[in-house]
Amino acid sequence: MKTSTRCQDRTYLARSMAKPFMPEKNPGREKFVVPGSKLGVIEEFTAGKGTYETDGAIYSHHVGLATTDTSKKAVSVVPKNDPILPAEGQNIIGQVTHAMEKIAVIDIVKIGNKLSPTPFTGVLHISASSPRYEKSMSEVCRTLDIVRAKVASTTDGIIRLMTVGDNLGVLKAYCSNCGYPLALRRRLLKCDRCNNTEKRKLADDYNS
Amino acid sequence: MSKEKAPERLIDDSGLRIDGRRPEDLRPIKLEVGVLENADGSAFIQQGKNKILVGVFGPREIHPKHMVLPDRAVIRCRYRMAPFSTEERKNPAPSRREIEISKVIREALEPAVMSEYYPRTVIDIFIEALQCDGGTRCAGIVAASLALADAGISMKELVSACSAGKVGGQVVVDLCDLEDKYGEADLPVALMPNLSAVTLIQMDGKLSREEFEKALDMASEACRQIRNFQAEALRHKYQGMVDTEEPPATGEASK
Repeated sequence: MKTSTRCQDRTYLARSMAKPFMPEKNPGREKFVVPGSKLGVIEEFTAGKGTYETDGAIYSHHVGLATTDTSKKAVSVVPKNDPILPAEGQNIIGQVTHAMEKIAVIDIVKIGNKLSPTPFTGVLHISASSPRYEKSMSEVCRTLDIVRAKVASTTDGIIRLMTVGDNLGVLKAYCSNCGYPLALRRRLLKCDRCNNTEKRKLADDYNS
Repeated sequence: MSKEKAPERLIDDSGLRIDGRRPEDLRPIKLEVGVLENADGSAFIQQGKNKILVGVFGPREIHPKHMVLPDRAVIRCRYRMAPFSTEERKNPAPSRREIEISKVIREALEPAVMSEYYPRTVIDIFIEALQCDGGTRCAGIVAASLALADAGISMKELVSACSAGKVGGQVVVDLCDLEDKYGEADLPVALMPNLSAVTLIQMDGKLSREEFEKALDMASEACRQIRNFQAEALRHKYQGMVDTEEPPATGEASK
């Protein structure tokens, strides 16, 4: 009997060493939840994304699907309808409304792939505009230009943008003399109407 | 001017109210979510003869800029009664009552909205009462809460609301217009049922301490029922996206 038990123990030990216990996510435990739906208590789970904890209980703060990750002992909610807001790391498309010496103000109209119903205001500082040293914002972008930028941060609700990157920068520029769209001739932008030449920090797909 | 006459009795001998309900009965409620295409979130409520439409916009950039709050979103609410919503034409200009109700609805919803997630933005709530039959502030809160959830705004809990009051010497729930006008007292209550938190309580008229406690209990119970209808309405809108049921967490957590 003893041998047999030892043998069983060894088999168990060998099996457990070969394949460590790794519980998988259980997609069958997805539940539809609304704001305020109780998801569990803090002794069971940690409060993940889309949830909050109060008085030892975890609640959803979105309409969505609650999923429990048994390996991480976490519960989170994937929202069904997120508001369209600029988030850090997202690419945006917008129009320059004011270009000053060191700062440009940009009206954000597209966030990721979604059009924003009302524009948000972002700020582009000259130090985050180009990998090179830029003397003035007029060499990066000017008023009315269409730019693609990345959201660098949204701390305190201020949307700070950056255009460092090949795919980031001006997508379409307009002549500061006559307002005619500028065409790319070699590395400079030229106005076909008044022959004015200007400089910008261009995205690699300018005017395409 | 008005055709309306004061009813002789608001509760008959068999204990039924003027519209045939028992004291603890709610009026029939119909809730719909996502009824407006152009709003970020919307809802429609029909509670008895009340018909209220709510649209929510935001979080979006705030104008005028001087209203901005650096650490959270501003919540703006406008409650409005349509000129054709009452028996007599209502002047479309914003009245003192509408301005006050806008304020109390905003204050009833503010504790539920996690506005600190959306600094420097605004959330606009537009409540349009198309047909009024008493208890429109409560119905407005119920629909506004749904519209906020439909807009994807983070909320601690759905806010549900219902009124209780004293009519013909009896404490009743969900007063209609006649009961509201000719009854002895009215007590609108808004509640976050799962958190057991009251976000609005007002009282018009006189109630004894016992009557007040009974009315509050009845209104809270009605709010819990309405909360289930709200969850059902949200599930109905998103039913194409989900297969599973909502956990029955409401009852336990609220006690």
